Amino acid sequence: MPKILEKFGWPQDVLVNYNTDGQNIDPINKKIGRESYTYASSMITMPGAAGVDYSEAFLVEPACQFWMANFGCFSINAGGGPAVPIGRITLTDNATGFRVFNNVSAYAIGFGAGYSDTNNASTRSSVPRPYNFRNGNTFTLRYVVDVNVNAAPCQVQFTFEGWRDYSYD
Amino acid sequence: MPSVISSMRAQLVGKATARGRVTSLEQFTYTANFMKAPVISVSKVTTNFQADSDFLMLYILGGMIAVTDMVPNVGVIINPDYAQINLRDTTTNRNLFNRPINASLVSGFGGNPYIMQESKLVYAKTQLETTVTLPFPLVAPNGYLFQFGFAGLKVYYAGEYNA
Repeated sequence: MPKILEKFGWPQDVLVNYNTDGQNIDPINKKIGRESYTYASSMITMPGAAGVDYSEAFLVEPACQFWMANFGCFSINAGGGPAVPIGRITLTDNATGFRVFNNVSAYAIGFGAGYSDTNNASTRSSVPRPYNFRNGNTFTLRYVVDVNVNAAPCQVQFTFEGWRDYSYD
Repeated sequence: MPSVISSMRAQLVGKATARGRVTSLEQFTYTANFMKAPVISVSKVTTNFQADSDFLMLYILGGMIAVTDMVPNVGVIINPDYAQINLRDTTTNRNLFNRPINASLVSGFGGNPYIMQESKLVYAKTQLETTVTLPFPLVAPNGYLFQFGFAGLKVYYAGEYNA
């Protein structure tokens, strides 16, 4: 059962009044719609052992807020076999400067967290507490791999899983 | 899955909502089937949601099979691992993802159903568009069958809504 669903009960477009976990996202008792949403990075290509220093910004649309609850990692080796270029992740809320991840090993928060098979590695880990990116702002992913230990070209994609909250008058 | 149903039933049946009072919930799975579609780089399938109920989507499932072999992919075929998907709700015109995401992360190709962090309420009669993007040609000469499933609960309401 989705843990958030379990926690909050009836979730989304059926209109409900609540404040979420003490954070007053609905100060004047507007009604809120909530639904699943996931951001994904571009597919990041590493051309071999050189690694990569990659940054990408994501816009939270003005009409909604985004709550991030999970972080997902996918990687694949172009030559076959798993590819797990570990690297370090920094995820910054540009509205506040707060770093949700501050130069953290991608292995600790994703690649090492779960499933992998012979062809790829796809894993995810949960954020201890969902993080709220406010509407109309951006957040930035930075992914730094000093050395790609696989030494072969590979591709990596990251996801930020969560939900959107919409307000209704 | 049964625990989800019983839990949701306890929470929702009898509840007054903007869509009407909830009278019952039933487990259901919609699918999107791609027949040899992977032979081209981008393909789209529309799933028609039934008119008798809304649908509370909880899980995304995914699988693939080579047409020639008709055996499950057990890891010897590389290319389908590059498959990326995106979903769009045509009633609200909202995508579930900001861009196509590798199917392993969001559809169960990774071995387990993908548990959405939050459910998504899909209105009756919605057409859900599933797009598969394959950046590279596939190795199977006759292509692959891809199937995606959307598992959740049909939501029935009292009153005029379902009349």
